[in-house]
Amino acid sequence: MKAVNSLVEDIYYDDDIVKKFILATLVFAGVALAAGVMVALQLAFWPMNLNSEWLSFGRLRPLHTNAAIFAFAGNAIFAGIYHSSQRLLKARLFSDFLSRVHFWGWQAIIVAAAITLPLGYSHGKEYAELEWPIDIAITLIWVVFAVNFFGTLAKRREKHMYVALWFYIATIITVALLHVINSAEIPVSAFKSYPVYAGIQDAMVQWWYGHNAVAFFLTTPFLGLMYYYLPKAANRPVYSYRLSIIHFWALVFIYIWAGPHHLLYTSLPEWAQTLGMVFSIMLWAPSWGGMINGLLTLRGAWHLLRTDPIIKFFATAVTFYGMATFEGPLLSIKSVSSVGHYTDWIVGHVHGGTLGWNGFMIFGMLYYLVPRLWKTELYSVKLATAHFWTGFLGTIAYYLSMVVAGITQGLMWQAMTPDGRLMYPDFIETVTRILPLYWVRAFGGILYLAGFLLMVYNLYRTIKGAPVSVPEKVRVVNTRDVTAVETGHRGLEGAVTVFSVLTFLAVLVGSVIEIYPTLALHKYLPPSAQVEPYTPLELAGRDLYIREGCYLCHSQQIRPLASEVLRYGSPSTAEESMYDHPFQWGSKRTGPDLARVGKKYPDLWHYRHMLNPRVVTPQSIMPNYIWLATNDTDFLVLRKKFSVLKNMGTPYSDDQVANADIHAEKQAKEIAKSLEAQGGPSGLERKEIVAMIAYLQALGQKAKETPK
Amino acid sequence: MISEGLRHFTEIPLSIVGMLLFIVTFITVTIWSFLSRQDLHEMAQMPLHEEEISHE
Repeated sequence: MKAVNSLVEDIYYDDDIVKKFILATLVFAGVALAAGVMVALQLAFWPMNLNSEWLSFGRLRPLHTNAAIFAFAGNAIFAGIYHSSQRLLKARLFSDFLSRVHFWGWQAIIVAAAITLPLGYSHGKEYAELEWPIDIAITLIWVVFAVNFFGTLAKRREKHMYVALWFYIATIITVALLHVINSAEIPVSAFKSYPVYAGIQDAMVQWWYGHNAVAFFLTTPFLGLMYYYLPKAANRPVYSYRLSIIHFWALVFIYIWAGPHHLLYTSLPEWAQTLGMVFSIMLWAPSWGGMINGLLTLRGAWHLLRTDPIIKFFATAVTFYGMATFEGPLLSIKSVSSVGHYTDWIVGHVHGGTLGWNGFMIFGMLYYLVPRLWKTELYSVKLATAHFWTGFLGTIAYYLSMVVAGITQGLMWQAMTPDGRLMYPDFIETVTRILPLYWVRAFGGILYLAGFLLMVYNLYRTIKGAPVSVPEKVRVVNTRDVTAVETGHRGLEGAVTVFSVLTFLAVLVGSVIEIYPTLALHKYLPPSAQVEPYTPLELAGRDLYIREGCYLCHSQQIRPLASEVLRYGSPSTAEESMYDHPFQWGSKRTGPDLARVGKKYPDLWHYRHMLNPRVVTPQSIMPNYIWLATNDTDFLVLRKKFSVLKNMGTPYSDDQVANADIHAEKQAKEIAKSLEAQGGPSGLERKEIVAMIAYLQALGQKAKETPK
Repeated sequence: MISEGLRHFTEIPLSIVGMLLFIVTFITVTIWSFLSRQDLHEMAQMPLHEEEISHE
């Protein structure tokens, strides 16, 4: 770089890395959306599971969520952050080498996820399914990203950090905290581990992580991108910089408390549920602060909505953000949650946010960036407009169908006759009632994917017709006067370290107050609590349950609501899951709750149900799990599993650990004999289906005094 | 109705701590955000600065 005088310099921005992340965004968006359409079709039409171990719903759904969040949104976030930061800081990225390590490392993580998830290597914790080697890789690459970003901040020529940068700082710091804390696990083998948390502790930590993955991966970086790209596209300054200050600090402080709103009416301590609910309601205000700032930035530029597809995407994205951040607090109210929790209303809420807010922000940003980076015009404005309307209609179809389905489910589950019995005692009645809406949802997803493919074609033609790229030198003025003394927030905007530390403290407060007390599990268990831990064979079956993703459709947590008690039995207690590493309370009931399914049906029923659910429930949409009858159980690894769990506090004896495989084989022989005696096939003692049956028959049976 | 709502607040000290922290933070930031109009206007313009291409 050449100094013209001490304040003016000519530099090159690194836009090559931005282009790489943009291309990766396009590739993995396709994967994420295609996987989403596949799983949507599997719910509407169960044969789409193809009787395949690697393509069943339970294996593909985590692939879809991880691809959508970390591959699609993740790559887009990095593209936008690296592009906007350089310009806001008037500095090339700190290190070209780190940029490339970041890029290739992240793509390697995505590929590892795409291979391991269909193979069933999963933690059984939503949005944190990836096993421990990949968790370590994520940590390392995130550190690389952080060093590259903060290094750029350190060499900046613009003293004051624009609001977008605050949101990027909050993202980087908080995602690191969330990932490290939630990923605390002890490996059993190369691709299997158990979290150090169990039961209500795991629930608290998981949903502190899960909700704040939404907050600090799908909200704060996108707000940062909004604050940069919306004013750029509309050529209008942000509506209120003061509002951005207030809503930023309120958002980062409040969001972190909201996690327990995923656990209302569960056996999580009441105080934690209340805190989650109250702070979720308060979160409405700073969220709408962002929405208001975004939409009112378009004052004086509303005419662009008619002609500019980028503004169409951005304005619609911010509107969906407003909808989702009103609906979220609404769903966090306990009485509303009692209807909405476990239903498709939550799925609708999520996709209103991801398709509407995240997806449309990304599309707008790509339409803005690609012509500029490749120094050409967009190939077709008409195609971009067609993409907008296709995607918009798809999002609306998805959202409305799922909200209607969810409210229908929730009300049907709770409906009682005048004499106090369930109006719809068979769970399958609610499934068949909403099946047409699953088709509407799949159609919505197909529309959204179709719109995306229009964009891919449009951007492909744009890039193909672009001139050969030549890096351009940019003249920047160094305005970083380090001698000037500034006070208040103005001073803070020039003090990166102090700003970052304050952001960290803001997110730490809620985290410590909610998680720390939960770690003292004994406070919430009655003195008489006695729970038997799983036998070796039951543990083997539990790990199969996690592998197959059963928790994605079945919950194991009965709420203290009259209709649930009638349908499933007494409410779940904290002690029942005290040895569950990980907890498997679930967050969705596509199928019924299983918390007290143990001993409800004979072994043969479970055998027939797992191999072909329609044999016992003709209208079931559950996949066939035929491979469980042919795959062999790994008995030998049980010794190591028991050893790890014993070290984490599960009360196994040394004999149980040393002879775990022998005990498992013995129990397996007994179940196999029972199956044969009931008229089933013989010779199943070494098959996975027997382990699964052992686990299912143990559910609700482990508390020494089983609640009635 | 108030008593029914309050029944949910079983861990009152913790809830009060959380509320107080929020209120203090909110008021602090609100007061702190009262900068000069010129500073706020200048910061809001930042994304709109056009890149100057150097021809040297």
